[in-house]
Amino acid sequence: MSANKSPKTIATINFKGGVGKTTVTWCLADTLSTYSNASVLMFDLDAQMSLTQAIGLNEDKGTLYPAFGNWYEKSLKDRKTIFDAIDQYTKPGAAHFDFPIGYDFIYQISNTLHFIPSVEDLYWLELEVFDRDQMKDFMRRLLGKIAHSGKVADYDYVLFDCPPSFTLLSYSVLSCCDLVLIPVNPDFFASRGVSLLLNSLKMRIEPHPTPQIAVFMNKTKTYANTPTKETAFYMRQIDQICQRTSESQGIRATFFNDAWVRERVGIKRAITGGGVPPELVKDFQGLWQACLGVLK
Amino acid sequence: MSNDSEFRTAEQEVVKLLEECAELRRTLKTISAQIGRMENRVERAFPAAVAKMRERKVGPQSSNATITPEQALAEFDKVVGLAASGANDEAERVLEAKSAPDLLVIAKELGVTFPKSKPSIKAMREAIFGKVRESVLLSRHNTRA
Repeated sequence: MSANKSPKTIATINFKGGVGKTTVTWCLADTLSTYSNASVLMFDLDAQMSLTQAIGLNEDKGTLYPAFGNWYEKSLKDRKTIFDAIDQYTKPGAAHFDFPIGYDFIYQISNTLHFIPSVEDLYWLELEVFDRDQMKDFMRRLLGKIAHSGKVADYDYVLFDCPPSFTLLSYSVLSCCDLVLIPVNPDFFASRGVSLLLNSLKMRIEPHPTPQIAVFMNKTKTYANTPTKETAFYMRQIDQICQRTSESQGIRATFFNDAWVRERVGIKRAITGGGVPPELVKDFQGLWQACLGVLK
Repeated sequence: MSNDSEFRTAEQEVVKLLEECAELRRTLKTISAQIGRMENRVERAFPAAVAKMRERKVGPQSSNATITPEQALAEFDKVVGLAASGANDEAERVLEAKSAPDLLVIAKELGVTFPKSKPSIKAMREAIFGKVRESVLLSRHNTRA
């Protein structure tokens, strides 16, 4: 992030589970940090910790990589996790958000890809934090602290892997992010999830302005390198839903007709296996270009 | 079985024949897999030509159709509009008025597949109406203001 520029923030979200939020977040971050000069910070905000565990998992031995494992254990012990940041921010009577930012809070996967992992405590966040209004500015304030700490990299982009439900943390992210990226799959239930999200988002995060929303087809079934007719049916339906809700709800929802990501068996191993499969790199680069198009 | 046969008993002969059958099956599987790989390579190398060839394949089935794929989708949207506004009877009448080739074009454009190569008119109407119901449900919400 240059001195005069805030990082662009993108939240991957869908209330339907299994659409590929975690894999898409990772693949976008990996593609971006590998094939461009951008500096990327990635958050795992899902208490299920799929991204965190996938990054740390050594598939061969079934144990955490020592580097990440040791770092993670220390961050838990030293209370330098995302939950501790929330705890500090919501502490009764705390005059300032006084949470120190450093590489004991942010893990360096590579020079250009950094990561804030999830913790199990996030499961119980809703029970421990009651004040919705207090939480709404948490992420905005945390990003501000990261940007001005001077102790970590200047980030160009921040990507959030959000949980498949409307939690206080996702509320805080949606209230401050530049782009909500919604992966959808070519089936009724995933499409219905998009429809539900688009029709309730504005109402739920008001009075904050609704961020730009982009929907794209993930796990696209292809035939002769184009989406199958069945997939095309759902793409058309979702495009229409985006257009209708944009008009009726006064939001900016775009469907990426040309930026779809094809289905690939074993794609989840892209995280544990060290990178985006070569045949999918173009798909994610195309998706990224489409994201930049709506972020302008 | 002759005396100079390599098989000593009928059971051994049966076993040998079964082994040869299994070997033939393996060979055919290998050939099938190789053809599949060749097809995939060709499809990746010449996607436009392959798409054209597939269009030609479905041609005869829908040769009597009076609507284009674009018009088929527009017809579908019209039926969805009627169903969404509660005019289900009218929506059904629109589909009932369609010929089998036209119904087939609409079904194909919606990505509907049938177990038979020549589906019945009833099966096509039901499948298209299933998609109509999906489309209506995707847009229906009961959220509190």
